Amino acid sequence: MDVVKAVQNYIYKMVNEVSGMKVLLLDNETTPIISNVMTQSALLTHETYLVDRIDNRKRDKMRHLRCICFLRPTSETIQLLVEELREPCYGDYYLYFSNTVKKSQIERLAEVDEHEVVREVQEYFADYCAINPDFYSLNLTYPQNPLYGESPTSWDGRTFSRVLEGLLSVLLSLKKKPSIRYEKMSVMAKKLAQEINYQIQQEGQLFDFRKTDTPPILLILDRRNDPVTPLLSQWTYQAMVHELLGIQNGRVDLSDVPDIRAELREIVLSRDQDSFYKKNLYLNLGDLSANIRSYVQEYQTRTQSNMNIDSIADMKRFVEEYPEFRKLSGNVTKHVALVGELSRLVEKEKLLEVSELEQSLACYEQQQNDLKNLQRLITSSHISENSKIRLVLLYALRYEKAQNNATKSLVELLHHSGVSEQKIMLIDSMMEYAGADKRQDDLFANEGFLASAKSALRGLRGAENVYTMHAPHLAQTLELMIKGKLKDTSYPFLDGVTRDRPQDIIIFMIGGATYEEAKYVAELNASTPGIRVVLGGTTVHNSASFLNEVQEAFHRFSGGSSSRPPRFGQQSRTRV
Amino acid sequence: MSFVQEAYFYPNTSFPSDSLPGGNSQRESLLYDDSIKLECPICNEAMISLAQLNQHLDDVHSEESNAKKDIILSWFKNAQSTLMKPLSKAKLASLPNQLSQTVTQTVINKLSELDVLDEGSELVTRSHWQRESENDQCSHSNCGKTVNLRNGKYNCRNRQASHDPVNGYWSRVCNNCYKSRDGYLDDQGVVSSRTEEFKQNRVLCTEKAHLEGNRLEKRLEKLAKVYATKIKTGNSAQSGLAPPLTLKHRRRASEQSIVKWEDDASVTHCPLCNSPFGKITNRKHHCRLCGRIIDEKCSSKVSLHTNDYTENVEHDSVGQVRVCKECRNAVFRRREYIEEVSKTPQVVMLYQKLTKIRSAIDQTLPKFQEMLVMLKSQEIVNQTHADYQVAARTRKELLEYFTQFDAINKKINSLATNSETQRRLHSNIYLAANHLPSIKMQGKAHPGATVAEGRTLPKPCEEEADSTGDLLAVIATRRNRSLSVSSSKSTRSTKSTKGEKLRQQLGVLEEQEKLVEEYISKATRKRKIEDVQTLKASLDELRQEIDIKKQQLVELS
Ligand SMILES: [Zn+2]
Ligand SMILES: [Zn+2]
Ligand SMILES: [Zn+2]
Ligand SMILES: [Zn+2]
Repeated sequence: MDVVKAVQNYIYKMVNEVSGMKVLLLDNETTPIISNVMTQSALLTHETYLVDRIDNRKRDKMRHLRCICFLRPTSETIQLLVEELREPCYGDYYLYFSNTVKKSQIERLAEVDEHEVVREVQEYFADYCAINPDFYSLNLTYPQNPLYGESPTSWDGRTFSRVLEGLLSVLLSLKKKPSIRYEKMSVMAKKLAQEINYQIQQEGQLFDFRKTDTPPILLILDRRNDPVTPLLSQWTYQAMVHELLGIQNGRVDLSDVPDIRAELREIVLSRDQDSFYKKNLYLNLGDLSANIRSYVQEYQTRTQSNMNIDSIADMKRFVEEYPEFRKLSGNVTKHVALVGELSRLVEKEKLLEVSELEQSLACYEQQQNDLKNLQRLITSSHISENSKIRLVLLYALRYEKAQNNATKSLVELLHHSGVSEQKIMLIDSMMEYAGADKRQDDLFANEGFLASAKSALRGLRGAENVYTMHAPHLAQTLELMIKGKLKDTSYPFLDGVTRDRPQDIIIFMIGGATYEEAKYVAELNASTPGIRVVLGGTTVHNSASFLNEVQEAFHRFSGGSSSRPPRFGQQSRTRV
Repeated sequence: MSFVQEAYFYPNTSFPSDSLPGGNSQRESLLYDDSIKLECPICNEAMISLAQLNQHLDDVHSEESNAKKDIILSWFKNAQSTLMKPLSKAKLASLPNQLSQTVTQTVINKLSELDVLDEGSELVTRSHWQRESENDQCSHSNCGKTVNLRNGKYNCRNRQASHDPVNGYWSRVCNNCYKSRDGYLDDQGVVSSRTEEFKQNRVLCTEKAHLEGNRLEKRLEKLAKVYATKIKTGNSAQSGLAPPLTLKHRRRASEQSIVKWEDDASVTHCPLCNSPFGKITNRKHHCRLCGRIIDEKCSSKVSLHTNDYTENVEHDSVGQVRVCKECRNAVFRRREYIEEVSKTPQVVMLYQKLTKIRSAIDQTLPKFQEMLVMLKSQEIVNQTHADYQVAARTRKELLEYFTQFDAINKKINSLATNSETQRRLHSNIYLAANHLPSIKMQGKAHPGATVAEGRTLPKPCEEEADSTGDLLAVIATRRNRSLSVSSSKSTRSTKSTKGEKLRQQLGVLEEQEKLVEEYISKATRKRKIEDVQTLKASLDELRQEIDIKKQQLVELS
């Protein structure tokens, strides 16, 4: 169960189907699918010398090239393909669709293929973005793909069908016909579970896999049950880069970084091509900085040794190492720049201080103490508005039912310290979205009578680092599930109940997953032989994109004015 | 530890089914390492995890008195420290492998015949699974490792088993077996072909299009005949008998006899682009092939020929008629397309050659490497030795291939282009070819080792060392050149670092220049004419590259 390999294998299959000079034609949705798992040079080695977009109408006619099309079968793309086949730019066409093509679409394409240029029509189910081997995303972000339709518990129609198709393709690419479980309280999760089940029955042939010991589980969750995880500052490399700078399809925009060198304005973070990244993406900033230092030292020793080449043997060795050396020098500058920028932002926004309080709010019941700290930070001029909002949100979520809930006074304080009215409105939206009544599990473990005991336990768990104590709620859910102890009453099976301990688990998080959860899943996979978990969601959230989504949705439902709510920055967040 | 369901075969048909009562909780306990005991401090119910215990406490004991809460609190602290200890892992005994077991379908069939595989029977009770035999073997997929089969009481000796996910029994297997189950590590997703369906649909459509095309071609022929005869009569009428107007009218009548013209009054918009017709601005035209009314922009004139209809041959044209876009496409497009595809641009021919040479290299190179290893291991240093000569010939062949490959690749990169895309295509082919594993691998054959040893080996060995050494030298040059080219292309760095890089590259190139010069003088002394030629070619290229780098350095500063 490796989504990166699954998608890569599809792509290799496409480009290896025929030999000779090839052009790869993509659409706006398959481009990110490819760029998440492939580099240009990997394509080059498979004789794919050109990559272009089907919506580029100014392509040259190059009839001596074979054309590999990798397209999503949307009506827009089929129309573009119809036009392409009417006036073919290339010699042969091999059509690969990322999902099921309608019968009528096949007929339409066949009708216009007068020149009989089409050689193959295949469905390759790589209809999602594979980020890590055990982490995928459907890249559905507000505002292009709103999650909610008529109400805060109903799907937007278009987004729903995209999610359905995406999730089916995940299952097909991994060859899984799962038993489906869903979060009982989430209407959207139930609807998705039922529709997936229906589609699997409909597509009986496609899902005709050999029987497994225990059926794989598809677990459909709702972000609503854990609004805390996406609100927290992150300290591990991948998660932190996404939180502070934003990762879009493996790329990070550094153009806003002061004094950045031209070639580092946009950098690529690829596990396949960048061993440093692969080794360090789950490490925290402290360990990461140490590694960066030794990495730089390694680079320096290498540069020095090649400065004085005085023997042929030296030169030979140098030539031998040359490709490595070039990669190294490119890489080292990239990661030094990236880690440098992360550190700068941490310092500038006093994120260590913020994070300590965040963790405390997320993990412990200690209202008075946290309240004092919170009041101090809200009035501080060094803390960003977004951080202040996030802290108050965490407080409001944890102490929503507490007797001496001080959220009101904190909101007052936010007003006094000049935080914009519209951002403050988000606190109400968040309670609407994911207040205690909307969540099915006891997220803060403060609803039962053993609250203090449990919190004490949680505190002990990761006590080696005050900034990374928090474990996402997903951890608890998964641990129970792996032991066969996840309650049917909270996470019902769609049909049939199996008591078997699951082996393969595919998770889908409606409302977006996070890199913190991805890291948890990666660690779980590494430490639990026999268990394989793959996590995914409608998108990968950082705090800014999460707040945007909640704000947009609940601004609309609370019957607010038609004016757009304020943005908390893009996924690549705007600097304060 | 991992679990799979396996179907076991029991040699003696008397199956002790009485000892297999069901029991879900027992079965589950199979799945966990029992070295950690977690029990509820109040009711002693066994628990799997702390989280479950939490839940249990809330569910069952939430009404307990305050006094008990304190007990629980302190107990929790203890549980915490116990839990943090790593799970003790069940050890795999490493007893020697006995007979390797085979798995056959008949085994599974026999098993089904025994009819013991009902739902209840796959559950094994605690009293049974703890007893083990000494020689339990993991017989799955030739693994043969001896493992703790927790439920192995009845199937411990001479057991044959195969994996059976449907009717099997849970058993503990080693990690290898767990992962080697069919499909477990399959990373090839589902593929569904719609090609046949597409082609069936296409046949229907293309047949129709062919028919339509033929029909229109026929009409075009008739039109050409009409125009050809009219010109003749026109010539005879030049004496003044028939005014030109009549000629036009008569032509029109003939045209309309070939295809009926659409009625002017019935059409207000162009059927192809939907723009409205006007009296002056957007006038109506009739397509001579289908008779429809279209506007100027959706139609064009095609030349008529009595024997051939290639429109761009102007000289034997008998006249021109207006046809609509669709008719024009139907008649000419297919023809033009086939013509265009059949033209082979130069890059294609060069690329084909490149591919051919590449596969030749891919075939020859490993052979050559084997030969070198063989020569070395047998210490063959005599030049007249048959094996030595074969190796020398192969080497010559390889050198030849490399030179050709390089030359063609360069040619592709320098082909004239008339668009940015073509330019990109050519340079990408060039870059990719330079990074081909077989081309890059050269240096790695046995590079440093062979050469270094060759240099230090006593005299008799020098001969052999030279031949590989020279080759490697050439190859090293080649590799580095391609690298320097690609690096100068792929990096857009600032002025100072660029200069730095250039100087570094230049340094390497100059080192290589010296090296190759050395080889040349050596080869000349030994009268290896062909080698000298190859090396000289390399030297020239090197020097060119050096000149370019020097030039670039000058331009920078
Ligand atoms: Zn109890
Ligand atoms: Zn085994
Ligand atoms: Zn028109
Ligand atoms: Zn026409």
